[in-house]
Amino acid sequence: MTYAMPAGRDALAGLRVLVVEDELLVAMLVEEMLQELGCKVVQTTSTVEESIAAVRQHHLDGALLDGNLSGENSSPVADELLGHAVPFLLVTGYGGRDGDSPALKMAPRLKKPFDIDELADRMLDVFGCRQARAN
Amino acid sequence: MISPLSNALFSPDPWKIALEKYASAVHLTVRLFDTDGRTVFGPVHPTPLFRLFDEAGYDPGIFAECARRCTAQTDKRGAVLVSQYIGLTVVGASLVLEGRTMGAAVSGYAFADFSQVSETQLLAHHAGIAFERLWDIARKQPPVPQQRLVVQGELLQVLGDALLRENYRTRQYEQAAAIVNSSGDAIIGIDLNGAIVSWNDAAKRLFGYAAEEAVGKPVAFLIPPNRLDEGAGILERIRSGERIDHYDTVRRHKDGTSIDISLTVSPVSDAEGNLVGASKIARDVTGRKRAEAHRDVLIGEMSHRVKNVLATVQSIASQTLQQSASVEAFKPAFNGRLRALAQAHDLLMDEGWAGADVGALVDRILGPHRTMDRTRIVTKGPRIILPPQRGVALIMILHELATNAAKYGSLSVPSGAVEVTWRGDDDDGRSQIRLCWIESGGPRVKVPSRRGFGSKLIERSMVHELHGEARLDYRAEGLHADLRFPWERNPSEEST
Repeated sequence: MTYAMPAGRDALAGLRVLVVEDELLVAMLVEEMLQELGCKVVQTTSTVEESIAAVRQHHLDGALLDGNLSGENSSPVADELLGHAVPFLLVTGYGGRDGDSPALKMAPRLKKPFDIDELADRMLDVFGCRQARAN
Repeated sequence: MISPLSNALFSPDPWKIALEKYASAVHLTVRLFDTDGRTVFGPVHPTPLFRLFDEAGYDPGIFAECARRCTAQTDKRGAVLVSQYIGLTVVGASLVLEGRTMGAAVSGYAFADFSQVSETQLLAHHAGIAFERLWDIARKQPPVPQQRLVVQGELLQVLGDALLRENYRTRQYEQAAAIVNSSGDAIIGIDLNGAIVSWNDAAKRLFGYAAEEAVGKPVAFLIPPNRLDEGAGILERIRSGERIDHYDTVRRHKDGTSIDISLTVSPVSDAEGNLVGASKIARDVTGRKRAEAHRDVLIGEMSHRVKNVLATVQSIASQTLQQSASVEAFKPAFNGRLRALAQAHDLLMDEGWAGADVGALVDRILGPHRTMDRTRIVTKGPRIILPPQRGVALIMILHELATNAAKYGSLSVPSGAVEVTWRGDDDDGRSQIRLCWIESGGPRVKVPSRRGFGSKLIERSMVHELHGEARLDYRAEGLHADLRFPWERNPSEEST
C-alpha cells in the first residue's frame, strides 16, 4: 500500500518513535503507518512497566501513547515521557477520565480510528519542531 | 407545611373528643348533626342538663331544627339561639372548619346567670387547660350581635369552637408528624433564624445526629465550610416566602463524610398566615450520583472499546490487503478474521464481559470444521477463564491456526485431524497456561518460505498481548503449535 506524501512530511523521516498500545492489531497498524512515514519504530510496548523501561532505555524523538493499557491508566508512562522531555501523542478512543495525571490530561490527542494523514499532521504539530532542532 | 388531611376533616373523631370535653366541662348535652339533620354523634348526656330536659319536656326534634337553622347560614361562623326553656338556653352552632360547614352542634346550659369569666373558669378547669389561655381565645373572637344570642351561650360556643379547632389542629399535627416521621426523606423544621426546631427519623439516618443533638442548633452546622454562603442564601429566600425545589447540593454527615442530597425548602406559616420558619426535605441522592458516575465510566469504556474495535478492523483490512494477491483472495480472508473478532465479542457478551472460557473459544473456532468423524477434531482441557482482552487475543490466534489448517494443513483433507489440549499448570511456582495444537494426517508440511500475516500475528500476539511465547514447529507430519502464557488464576474459578 502506498500513500501520497504531501510536502513537509519528510520532516518526520528518521524520527525514533515508541509505540505504546496494548492491542496488537492496532499496534501493527500504527507501526505500518509510521514505517510508511519513514519513522523508526524503536519498540512497541503493551504494559506500563514495559513502557517506562523503554522510555528510560532508548533515545526517543516521540511516542504514541494509548490512554488505557489493559485496564491500567497510562498516566505513569506519560509522566515518564514528560520527565525525559519526549513529546507524545495520546492515541485514544475517548476523552479524559478520573485518575488521569495532568500530563495525560493536557496531552495532545489523536482519536482512534485515524488514517495516515491525520497521524502525520498531528505528528508534525507535536514532534516536527524537535526534528528540525535535531537537524 | 402541614397540609389539610381530608380524612381527619370528615371524621367525627376529633370533634367527638372536643365535644365530650366541652359537655363534661359545662354540663351540656351535645349532639352533632350533619347538614341533612342526621345525627352523626351524640347526644352526650352525662349531665344535669339531661334531667332538665326531661323535666321541661325533652324534644329531640329541637336538635334537628337547630341543625337546619344553623346550616342555613353556612357562610357565618356563629351560633343561633334556638329555644329557651325554663331556665335553659339552647344554642345551636354551625360547625365550620376550613371554610366548610360540617354540620351543627347543639348545646344548652342551665345557669344563665353565670358570669362570662366564671363560665370560662369552669370550662378551663374541666377541660384541663389554663384559664388565661382560654380567656385569651375568648377575647380574640369577633363580637357577636347581642340580639341573636344570649351572651354566655355565645361565649360557650366560641370557646367550644376554639377547643374544637385546637383539638383538630392537634390531631392534624399528630397525623402530619406521623407522616413526617415515617418518611424516607429527612425532614427538618427550622425557624426564621435558621435554628432547627424539628428533626425526623430519616434525618437521623441521613446525617447521623439524634434529634436531641440536632434540635436547637443552627441548621448551618450540616453545611460543609466551603458552602456556608449557600445556607445564608437559602434562609434569605425563605424569609421572602420563596420555595426551593430539588436543589442538588452536599451536606456533611456526623462522621465527616459528604452526602449528596436533593433539597426542597418550603416556607411554613402559622394559622394566622405569619411566616414562622421553613421545612427542609433532604433526599439522599448519593446512590443516584454514584449511578450517574458509573454510567459515565461505562459510556467512556464503551466508546474506548468501539473505537479500538474500529481501529482493529482498520488494521485487519490493511494487513490482509497487503497479504492478498487479489480482491477475490482478500474477501474470504478479511471476512474470516472479522468473524473471529465478532465471535470473541459474542463469547464475552455471554459471560457478561467478565471473561472467556478457553474451551468455548476453541470450540467456537473449530466448530465449523467438525464432521461426523468425531476423531477429526479432539479438544480437551479444564475450564479456564481468561480476561476479556486476552480472550480476544487467543481467539484471533486460534482463528489464524484454523485458517492455516483449512487451507494448507490437516483440515484441508478429509483424513486429517487436529488435537487441541490445554492445561493450567505451575511452572517454577508461576502459574501459566499451555495450549498445544497438533495437526496430523494432512498433506506433508513444508516450512513456509516467508512469514505470512497469520504466523506474524500469532507470534506477536502471544508476546504482546498474552505476554507469553508461541513456538510453531512445522513438522512433516503436521504443524505443532505450542503456546505458553502466564495466567493469574482467579480463586473463584475452580478447574474441572
